Amino acid sequence: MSSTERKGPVLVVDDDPDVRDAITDTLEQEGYAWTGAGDGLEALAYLRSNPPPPLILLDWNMAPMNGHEFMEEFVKHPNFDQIAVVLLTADAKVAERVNTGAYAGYLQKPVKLDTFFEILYRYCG
Amino acid sequence: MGMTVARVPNSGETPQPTVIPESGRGGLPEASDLLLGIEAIEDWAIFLVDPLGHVASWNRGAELIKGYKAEEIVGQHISRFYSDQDVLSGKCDRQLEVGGQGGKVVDTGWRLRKDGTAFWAETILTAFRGPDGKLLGFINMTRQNRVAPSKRQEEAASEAGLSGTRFLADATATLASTLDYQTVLKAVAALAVPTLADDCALDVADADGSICRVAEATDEPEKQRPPRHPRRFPPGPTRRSPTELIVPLRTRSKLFGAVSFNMSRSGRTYGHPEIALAEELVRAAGLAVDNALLFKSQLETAQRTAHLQKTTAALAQVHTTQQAAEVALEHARKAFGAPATTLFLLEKGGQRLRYLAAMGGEEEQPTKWGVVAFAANLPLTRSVREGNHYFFENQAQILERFSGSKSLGVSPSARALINLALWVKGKPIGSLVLAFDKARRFSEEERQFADVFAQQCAQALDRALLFERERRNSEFSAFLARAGELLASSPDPERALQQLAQLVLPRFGDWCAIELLDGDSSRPLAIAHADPEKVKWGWELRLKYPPEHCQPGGTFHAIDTGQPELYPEIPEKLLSGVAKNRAQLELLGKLGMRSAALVPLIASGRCLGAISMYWADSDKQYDQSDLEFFTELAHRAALALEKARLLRAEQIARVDAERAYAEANRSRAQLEATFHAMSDGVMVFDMEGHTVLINEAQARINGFPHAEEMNRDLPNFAQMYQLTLPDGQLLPAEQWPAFRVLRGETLSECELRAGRTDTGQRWFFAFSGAPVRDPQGKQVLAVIITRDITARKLAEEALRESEQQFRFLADNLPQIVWTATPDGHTDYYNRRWYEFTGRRSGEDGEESWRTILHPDDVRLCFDTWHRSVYSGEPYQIEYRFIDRRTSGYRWFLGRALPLCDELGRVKKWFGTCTDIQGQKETSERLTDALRARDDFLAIAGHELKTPLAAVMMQVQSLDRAAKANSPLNKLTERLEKASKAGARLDKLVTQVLDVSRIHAGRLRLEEESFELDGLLQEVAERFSEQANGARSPLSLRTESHIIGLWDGPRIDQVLSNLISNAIKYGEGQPIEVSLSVEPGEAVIQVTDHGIGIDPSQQTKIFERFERAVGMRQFGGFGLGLWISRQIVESSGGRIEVESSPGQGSTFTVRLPRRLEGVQHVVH
Repeated sequence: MSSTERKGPVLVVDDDPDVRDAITDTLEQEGYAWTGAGDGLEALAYLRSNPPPPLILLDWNMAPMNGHEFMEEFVKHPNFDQIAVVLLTADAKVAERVNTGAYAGYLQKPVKLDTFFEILYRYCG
Repeated sequence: MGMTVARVPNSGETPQPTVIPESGRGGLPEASDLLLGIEAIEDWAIFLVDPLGHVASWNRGAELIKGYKAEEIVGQHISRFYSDQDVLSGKCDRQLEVGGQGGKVVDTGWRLRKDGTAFWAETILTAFRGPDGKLLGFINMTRQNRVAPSKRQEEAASEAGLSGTRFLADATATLASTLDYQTVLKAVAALAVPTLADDCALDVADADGSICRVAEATDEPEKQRPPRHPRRFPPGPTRRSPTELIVPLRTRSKLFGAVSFNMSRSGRTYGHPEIALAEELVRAAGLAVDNALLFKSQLETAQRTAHLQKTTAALAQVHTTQQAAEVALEHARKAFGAPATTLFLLEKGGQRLRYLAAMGGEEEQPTKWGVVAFAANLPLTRSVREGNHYFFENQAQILERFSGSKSLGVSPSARALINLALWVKGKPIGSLVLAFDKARRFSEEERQFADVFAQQCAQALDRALLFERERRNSEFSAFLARAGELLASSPDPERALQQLAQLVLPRFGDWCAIELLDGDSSRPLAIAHADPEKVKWGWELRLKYPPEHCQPGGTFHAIDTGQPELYPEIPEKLLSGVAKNRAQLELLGKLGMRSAALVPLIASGRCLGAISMYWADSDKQYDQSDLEFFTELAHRAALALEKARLLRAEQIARVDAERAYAEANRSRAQLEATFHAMSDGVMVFDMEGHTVLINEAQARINGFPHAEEMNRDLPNFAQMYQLTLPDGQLLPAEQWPAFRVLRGETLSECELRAGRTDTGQRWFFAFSGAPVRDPQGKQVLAVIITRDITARKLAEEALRESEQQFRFLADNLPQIVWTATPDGHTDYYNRRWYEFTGRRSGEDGEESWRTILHPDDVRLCFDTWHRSVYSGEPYQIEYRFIDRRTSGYRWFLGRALPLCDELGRVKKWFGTCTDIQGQKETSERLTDALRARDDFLAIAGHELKTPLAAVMMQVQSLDRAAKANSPLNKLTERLEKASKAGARLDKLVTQVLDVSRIHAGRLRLEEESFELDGLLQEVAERFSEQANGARSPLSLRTESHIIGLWDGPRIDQVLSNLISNAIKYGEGQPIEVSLSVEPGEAVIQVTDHGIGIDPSQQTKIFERFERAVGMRQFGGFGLGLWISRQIVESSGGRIEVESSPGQGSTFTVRLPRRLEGVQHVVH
């Protein structure tokens, strides 16, 4: 589902298809390449067999592997050092809690487009 | 000598030269000591002369040689010592002038004595100057030369002729001009250069035999090549090489050292003339050293004499051994130049040498050398034992003598040592030890001096000991007087003894314990020690391990034998022998007793107890005199105790006598007044029933104003009164108490009801009575005593009634009620208790409530109840009792309140146990419900936000796209997505509304006739795409044309819910949906092969806000099944699940089929 010769790609990890669509549609519209993943496991599978994307947008509540579990795996791989992970969550408390360490930042749902683009420019040009 | 001597201006008294030290002098004697020494010198006239030639001081030698006393000559001009010829020729003035300019004049010539006779004198006049260089005066030293002047002149002439050199004459003059030993040595070396050597050195033998260099000289300091050190001194002049010569230096034919000459630098060699000249120089040096040594030794002798005088004077002033020791140490240090001095005294027992004082030396000495066994093989102890002083000039000598002993003595680091044995009157009393940090020779004079010094010290110490003993005796007497006063003045001798135990500390002991005999055992009266912590240990020891009769020594031994016991020393062995176990030994160790004196308390030949005194930390020892003192003290204490006992016995006897006398008086008065004074009624009848006496109380009790008015005979009373038994039965007159007593019976507290027929008054009486007999035993009177117990009886009745009311009330309460006595013993339970426990009244034992308590609550209840019984505080707690009907536990609220009397003392405890199991359960359910609701709200927040996020993002992004004129078809697709997410949001909100509607009872079903199979097909088609997407294809099996009356949209909702659940939890396995008909109902089944449901969760999933799978793993509220169940049940059907974890689930919905036209509304 990725396209070539565009900025990105951005790996969008969210188990809710509606939310995922909204994000990828917007990325598409803005000319970013993207890849979708339904949960942490899918995301990890993608990362293992593809060149590292500059940015991952990560949902928190997912099944079977949620955002937290994904991050635990993620930080173990030295190859992923250059990838920025931005957390997407509806829960402000979670956002505060993870606003340290391995995360490059977070976006609170519902996402404000301005902030969203800021993140995109910062990590994907 | 490194000091400046100044004269103190004459102020009428004898002028004394003052010495101003220029710098620290190290080990040199004090300046004052030097002056003392000078004062004492006898063969040199040494005196100070002022710049004008007036005598300013006068020594003993001057007195002896010149014949003047100091007071005669001080202030006079020295010209009177010169002959007239010398004065006239100006010799005297010239010498002063030359001395003042050149610093020193050495002269040999005639001098005059006081008596006018002349003597051949050798005079040295030396000027001394102040720091500013100003001439302060002269020191004149004159000695009488025994060599006849003519002969001496001849010798000088011949010597000069023989050597023929000016060098030797100069050298001899130089050497002769000084009396200082060190200066002589330095001068010898200096004189040799350059005539006899380029480099010259002088080596001498030290006290310990080693050779050391004392002087060196060279002609060219830069190129100095000091001669080699000789290994030994040769017997005569020896050439070590052509340019090196060594010549022995002898003093009074003793080999003293050697002078080494070296001419290698100037390339000269030692030939015969040089060797001869060197020999001559060294011989002259030997003579000069001899003179200097002689002078030094005389100076030292004088100093020692002066020291001895000073020491003796100082020792005469001392009163205590401590002072004596300090004086001895201080003076020994100065007189012998010893850096460390220590003094030991032999203890009274003669067993140990005890350290008394030290001066200088290592600081740990005192603790290290506290006590030394007298028998030890040490220089210290052996010297005292033998009465010999030991002088060790170096360590080799010490080792030689005491190589066997591990330690050499007080100063292991000493290089030289003196052990002075202090003996008095043929007995040893101690030791004075002087330690030196350098090897040192002790001359014969010094050894003799040391002996005299030791004798002086010993005598002073002996005197001080005597003083101290006397002082101690007087202290004993004073203390005895004080103790006697204390014991006599105190009304309580035991208290006084306790005070005494404190008073004896710390002067007479570290511990004092007093035991008093009490029959066969004893009790501790006092244990005293300065430290309260230790006193505690003392009591612990005394109480845990009391003294016993059978012990071979100790308190009871002293008590049993009546003999005082003395233990000068308590060795470890003794303690471990006495201790019964380790704990006791440890305690004994803590108390640290080292010496003991035990004295029995004996008075009138009877032993009353014992006083035990102990030394502990002080490390002192008791001796016989202490024991005598304590015996004396104990005697006084015992007398005081005995006196107090006698006094008490006397008092008791007196009190007894007084009491007996009062008793007799009272008996007599009773006869007269008892009857009328008594509050009880008294009637006395004679044998005929005539009244002999009726008292006022009897009249009052019976309702008469005065006794006279009641004065009737017994038969009258029988008419006036009725007596009835407690059960109401009338008592015939012959059974009345008075008649029974008249018949000879004795009655006690016979309770009867009485009524007066004329007034109708009623009482309760208690009658007592006894016959009175004459000496022959014949009855003569009957005495009846009547007590009015009406009030008590009425109160008893009232109480009985109130208790009955209480019991009635308590028995009819739904709670358990109990009462308990103030000490916590339960004495009543209400009926509810017996119903609950199934026991019968009287079956309850002590704390019977314990047996039915939940084991976890026993501790709480037991503690709470006992705390309340102890404190009198009410309590309220919750606990569980076993319910005998269900064998389960039920929660109870237990409360107890004390009923107190007017003084606040608990009279009774009232308690209740209320069953609160229902309340507990309700509150638990409520808590569960609240928790479920909170969980729901948390999920709802997330679930509602998710589609909202999608909608908002799409809309924002679309807005942006629209503004950028994106292609329309793209926008449409995305608008659909936004709309779909919006619809999802709507559905969720609908669900929430459904819950609220169902909860409020507003769920209305609108039924209509339709084909259920058609609806099912429709729903399945709607989900087919989603199902395929989840790789869980739907297969549908249905009978056709199943028509019935149902609420279509609601059934749609149920089916949608079941199918979407199947997809959600189906784990990508196929899903089967079927519809079949059974009698009266349609059956829909949805089967998946996914994760399944745990059996424990299977009923819960239909509850509101419940979900079998962990929260947030799967989307949705977890409301679907609950809503479905509500719809199905409202439709008259039911919903069930069959499932096993990992296998999948089958949901079955059974819907009743009804005919059209019947409306059915369900709440």
